[in-house]
Amino acid sequence: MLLCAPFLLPQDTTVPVRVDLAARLRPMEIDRFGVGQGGFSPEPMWTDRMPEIRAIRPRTIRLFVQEYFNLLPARGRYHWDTLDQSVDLILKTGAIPMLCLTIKPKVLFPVIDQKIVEPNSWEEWDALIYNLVRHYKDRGGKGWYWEITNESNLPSGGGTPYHFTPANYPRFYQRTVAAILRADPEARVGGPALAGYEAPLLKALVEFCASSKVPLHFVSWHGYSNDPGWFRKSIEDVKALLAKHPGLKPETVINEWNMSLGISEVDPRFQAAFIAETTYQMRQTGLDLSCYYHIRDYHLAYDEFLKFFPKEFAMREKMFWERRPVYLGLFDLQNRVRPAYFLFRMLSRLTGTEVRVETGSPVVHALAADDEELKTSGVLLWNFSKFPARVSLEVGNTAPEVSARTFVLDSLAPNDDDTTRMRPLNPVSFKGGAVKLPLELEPYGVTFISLEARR
Amino acid sequence: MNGILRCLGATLLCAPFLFPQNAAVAVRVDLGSRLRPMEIDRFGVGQGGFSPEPMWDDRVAEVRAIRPRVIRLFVQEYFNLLPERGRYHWDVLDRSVDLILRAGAKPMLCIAFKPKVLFPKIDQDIVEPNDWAEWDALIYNLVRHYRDRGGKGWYWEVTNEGNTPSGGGTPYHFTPENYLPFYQRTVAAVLRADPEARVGGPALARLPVPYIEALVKFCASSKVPLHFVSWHRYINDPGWFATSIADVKAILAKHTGLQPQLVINEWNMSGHSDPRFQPAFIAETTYQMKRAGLDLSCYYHIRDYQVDVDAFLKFFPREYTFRQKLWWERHPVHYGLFDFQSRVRPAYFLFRLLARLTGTEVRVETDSPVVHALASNDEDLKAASVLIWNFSSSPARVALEARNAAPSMYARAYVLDSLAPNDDDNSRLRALPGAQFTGGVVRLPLELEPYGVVSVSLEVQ
Repeated sequence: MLLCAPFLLPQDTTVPVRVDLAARLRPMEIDRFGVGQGGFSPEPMWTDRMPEIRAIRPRTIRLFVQEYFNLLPARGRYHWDTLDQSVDLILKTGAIPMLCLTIKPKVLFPVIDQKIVEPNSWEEWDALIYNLVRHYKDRGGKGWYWEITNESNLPSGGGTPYHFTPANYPRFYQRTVAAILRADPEARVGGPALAGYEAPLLKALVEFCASSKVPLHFVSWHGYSNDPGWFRKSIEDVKALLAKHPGLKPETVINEWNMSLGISEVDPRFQAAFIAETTYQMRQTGLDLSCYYHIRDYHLAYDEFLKFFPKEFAMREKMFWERRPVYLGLFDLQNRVRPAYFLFRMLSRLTGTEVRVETGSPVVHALAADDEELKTSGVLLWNFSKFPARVSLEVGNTAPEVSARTFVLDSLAPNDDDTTRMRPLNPVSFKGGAVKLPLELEPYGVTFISLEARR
Repeated sequence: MNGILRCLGATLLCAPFLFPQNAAVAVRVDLGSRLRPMEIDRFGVGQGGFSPEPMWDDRVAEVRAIRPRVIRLFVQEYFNLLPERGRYHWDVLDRSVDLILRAGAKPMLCIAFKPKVLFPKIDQDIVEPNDWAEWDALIYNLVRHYRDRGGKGWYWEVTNEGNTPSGGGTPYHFTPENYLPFYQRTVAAVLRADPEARVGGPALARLPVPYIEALVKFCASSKVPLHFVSWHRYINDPGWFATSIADVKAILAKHTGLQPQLVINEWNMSGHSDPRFQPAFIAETTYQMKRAGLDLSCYYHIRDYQVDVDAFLKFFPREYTFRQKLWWERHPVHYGLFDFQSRVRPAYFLFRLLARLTGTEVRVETDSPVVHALASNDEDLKAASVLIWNFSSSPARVALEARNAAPSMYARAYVLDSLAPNDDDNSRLRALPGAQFTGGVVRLPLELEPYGVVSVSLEVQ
């Protein structure tokens, strides 16, 4: 966990940010940077926030398929109803489920011991996985992402009941993905959802899949760090590992990420700027998918955990989630919308085609896209620094007449009203195919500019 | 509920204990002393009887998080349990009852309905059904319905604030005398359906002694079950609650054959202009209730909600319906843990902090009449919790000392910041920098603002 405040030097001069709307790079596909939900409860934890999540248009939403869904209550008897509620919630938002398999049915794992990682009947396990995937395929859900366990390089499995070694993970992976692909040949399978990325489990999985021709459609890992550069380096390092096995072409997926855990005090403006900067670094480094962790902070269904999770670790989870400051959710424990959500709202406005952006600063960055259907371009600018910054935004090759509408993400405003959090400035009109706009960005400030062609 | 209306003219705005605290108040916690199970869940919550809708459905996760042992619900006539003779209708009530069960609590169901077929005339002074056999059958089938769904041993309370003309927003107005046969018939039907049920009443507004004496005396002499006695109050003085508990205990002491639980199942402040007052009031009142030996309480209430006037007019006197409407729609209402718009209030966070008092209660000593604390040690969590508050309009300096701690402890303190401009979890429960302690003693200086509340978590390293 890096607690260092990045880039401490003040910005004395004006930072030029140049956007060229004629330089059309690639489809923006900002929806690749999706969200996930922690594995705390069998309830659909963010039901009443479905419209808000749909509004930010995540391509994927990750869900923990935990033992509390009770998928195999008795040998040969399956129970999908409870899980269906959480899966259906994802589908209502228009996202593809990324289902992380962390179940340990009691009939297949009678002893609560995270080091016991193989079921007492592989045939029953295969049948369970096959029928699970088949159940959703029969409901029209083909081509989903299926991830094999979570953070199992850790003793607590990141709140899940498996603790693997590099030696025993590949066998479990192989059996499980075979069952998935038998049920849905279009499914995307992968793992190992590492805590961090340097654990030997990832290397072992990649080498095993390459040598044994076992499908590996994506590799996944997690990071909680205040330093967006950590994410960049992790992507570069994983790509370097994959480059040694050119036969594999897995997608790269960071499907849990946020700022450092366990911090007591943070500037309320930090998180939104951190999300913008980290998304930018992920994008620049060519990450395929991400799932921000997470949608809503939620109270742990502690009694449910005790049925399958070691008591010692259940207590640690309870302690962390109930008694420590938790800053992770787009919605907090009481379902209050956080400023971070509004950053995702702004990101989702980057529709259409990505266009070239240049800045002259290591801390003031921007992303921009042009949407021909909307006849509108969007520029998201942020200042990932504890000092304010003056910015001179210059947009070239615009329509002959445009109206620029600027929205400041105001994380310090005393209420959560939509138009308070995304505070509009007075619109300004421009002619002549160019826009020049001076902007003041507060520490960790975020601003969105919508450039709308006059119709 | 009517206790609120009665307090309209008697709102106590006096700030208790106005003297500033110049010297540091010593708060001594002995983690080695193990008094009794903390059971803070005895201090639960209730919901006002405004609407047949499950009024706090969108807050079930938050209410479950504060782990109330019981949640009280008004079984009002708007649930329409007996639409016609011999036909029962449970579906609408089921939704509100199921909500309580989803929160992990035991329902405390206050019987306050008056089916039109048994009470054709809207008159609160008519308190007996026109057909006792039909009434008995209705009560029996109601309780049986929930028992068949697995709900045995619930609390069933016979009417609400029947000592007031408006019945606290319910349609019965009793005298001390005519309450008794109604109580007897009703609890007999309840217990016939579920012999494990807990029956009681009379859910008095304030504590008019003749009503409670009459019920206790009647139950003792007639061998009528009385598993709990209940009453209500809205007042800014936590001391009133301690006194009321002592008064009820004194009445019960005359009838040793009865051992009812003591239940205050509506309570709140009368009103205060300082947003910090209510959480400190809840802490201090809970402390007074606990010390005085109350068995159960239900804070009034979970969520402020609009009165369903049209539904009320079908069974409730028009004059009182409009009084209710005026009160709930046009006056400042400070009761809900969630307001009319379901916004979370600082009071909710006080219940969050109370819920952290898990495990075994340990000894706390303070030398101040206004700075008090509750503390417990949770061996499973390997953590102790200390809740400290300053029930005063002046700030207080506190020297917290926890002895017999583990050799290495980490202390985390959280200030309940009722004045913070937003409701974010981390704004309301504002974390202070943590500190490490060794040697089995934790010494922590704390500054408590007026009506300040601080929770300290002492975690074994």
